[in-house]
Amino acid sequence: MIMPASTLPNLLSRSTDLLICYVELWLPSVDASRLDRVAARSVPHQARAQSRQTISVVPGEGIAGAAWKQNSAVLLQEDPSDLLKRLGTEFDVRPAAVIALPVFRELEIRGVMVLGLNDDFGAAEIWKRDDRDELTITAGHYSGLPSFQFITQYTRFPKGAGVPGAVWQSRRPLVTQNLEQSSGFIRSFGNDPAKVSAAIGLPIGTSAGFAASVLVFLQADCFALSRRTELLGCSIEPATDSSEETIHVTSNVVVGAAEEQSGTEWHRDLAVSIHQSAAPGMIDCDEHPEIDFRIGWPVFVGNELANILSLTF
Amino acid sequence: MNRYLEIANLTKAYPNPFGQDVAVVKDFSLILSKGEVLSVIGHSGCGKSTVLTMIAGLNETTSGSVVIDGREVREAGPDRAVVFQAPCLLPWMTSFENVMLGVKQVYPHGTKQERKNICEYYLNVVGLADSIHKYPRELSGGMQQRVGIARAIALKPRVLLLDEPFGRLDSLTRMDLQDVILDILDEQKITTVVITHDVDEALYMSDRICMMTNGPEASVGQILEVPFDRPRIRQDVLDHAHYYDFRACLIGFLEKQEHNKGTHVQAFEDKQRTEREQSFNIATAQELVEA
Repeated sequence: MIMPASTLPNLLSRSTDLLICYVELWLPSVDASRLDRVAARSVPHQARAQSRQTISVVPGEGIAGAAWKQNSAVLLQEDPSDLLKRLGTEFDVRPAAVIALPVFRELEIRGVMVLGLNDDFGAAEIWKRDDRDELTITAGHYSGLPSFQFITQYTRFPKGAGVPGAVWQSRRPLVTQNLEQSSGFIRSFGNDPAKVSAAIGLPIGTSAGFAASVLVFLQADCFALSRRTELLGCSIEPATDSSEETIHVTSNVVVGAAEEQSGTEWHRDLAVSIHQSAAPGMIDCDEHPEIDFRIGWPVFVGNELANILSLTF
Repeated sequence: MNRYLEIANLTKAYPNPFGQDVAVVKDFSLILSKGEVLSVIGHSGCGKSTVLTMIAGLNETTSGSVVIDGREVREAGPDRAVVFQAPCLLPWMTSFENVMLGVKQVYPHGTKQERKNICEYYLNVVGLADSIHKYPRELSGGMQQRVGIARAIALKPRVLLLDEPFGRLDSLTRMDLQDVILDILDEQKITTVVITHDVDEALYMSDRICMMTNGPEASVGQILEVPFDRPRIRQDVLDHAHYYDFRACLIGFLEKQEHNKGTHVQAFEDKQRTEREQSFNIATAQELVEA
């Protein structure tokens, strides 16, 4: 899909100062027996010598297959560059960690997004329910946040508390800015080199009416997750005798770029594309001088598309 | 883990002058394993003591449940002993008689000698062997509180509830009594909830610390696991490499609650005002329709 060069974000974060350095998109095969890697991009942009090799995994195989099988985000920190090499990645990227985010619609796998993370300021955390019905950190990648990392291993969140608990309970993504001002945010007590400024919480999978796990990205004030991080709200108006199905899109939260009017053309294009495929998407922005590509990570509540996390690179 | 004390969605609401329910505590949930010590800290007036009195059965809950060892409890009973900030001893009774009062209730079938032994044992445990027959007026504040602790422990409770038990004591007495209680808990493995303002006390005594958010609608904001070994030795705890990290974390939480209290209350009042206006509009519309 080609993006219209309409409203341009004029204050995008620099692509060299981003937590994410690599993106892969895996989609299920027609019979849903395997995941195929359908796209891969580096950040910043590198010439794409697109591999002709089709790479596929079954549940449990590789990091994408592991995320599928475990119904959870999976974080790999031990030599992730080697993993990407073995997977046939054609880019010269050296991520410090790789994280795989599965998308489920009810119990059906709809795709996996694999993200390579830089060793710069920021964090990615995976929280899961423990036997006290609290969220406990099960894996985390932290850069420049030693105090934050330390206290996190002793922190638990009940349902509804903090960003992880709120996402867990609501099964909806949540973007929180100005964390330093938030009364509930206490993990930033130390004198870390970086200060956490925004948190992006994503529900992963479903278990007993709640998110099976919660992924939290923490963005430091000096390093953004992506050049523009945006949470879109989607509502679908079903087709009637007199009208076609309509998707209403609202841009709820924007981090890392100047405000852009909500409901712009690219928002709708992204939402339509994701609604039709019911899968995460990656869209090249070849006509756009400043933007390489966007990814859209959908959140379904039941069968309905409820939100899209859009990351612009 | 064993789920010994399960507190589920505990809520306490009072009506305001407009007839709306104001939940001072809302959906407070925690699970404690047997023998665990949990401290609850929070800003003054956030509802910590309300939670404790609901667990004790001394304060009726609006909704939610308290389950001890698989059985729901709905009213006060000797299985949950409470130590308040004021020892509340009966002034016309000696230390021994104050402790015996509860022991008689819990051991109705024991012999007189057995009950006497129990009272003397626990008064001895709290260091009052020499003051067994003294009246409260003859005891210092710290000694009176020791009697209160002995009275609670002598009931052999399944859950011990401490509501700022050292709040009126000087620092040295406070530390002394913290050690007395920790020794008892280490030996008897009583599941314990401590309400406190003191972050050092919370860190020294607890396995976990529950940080309560501001009221109205106060709830569990976050939980901190305390990794210090048991039995606790004060100096070892203070010398722990990360003691001051934990301390800073807890103080940071309390400061943020203090800083945001006004905003929180204002937001809650705005929400209630909106609800009142909506219900008024609906009622007015219904009246118009009926007219």
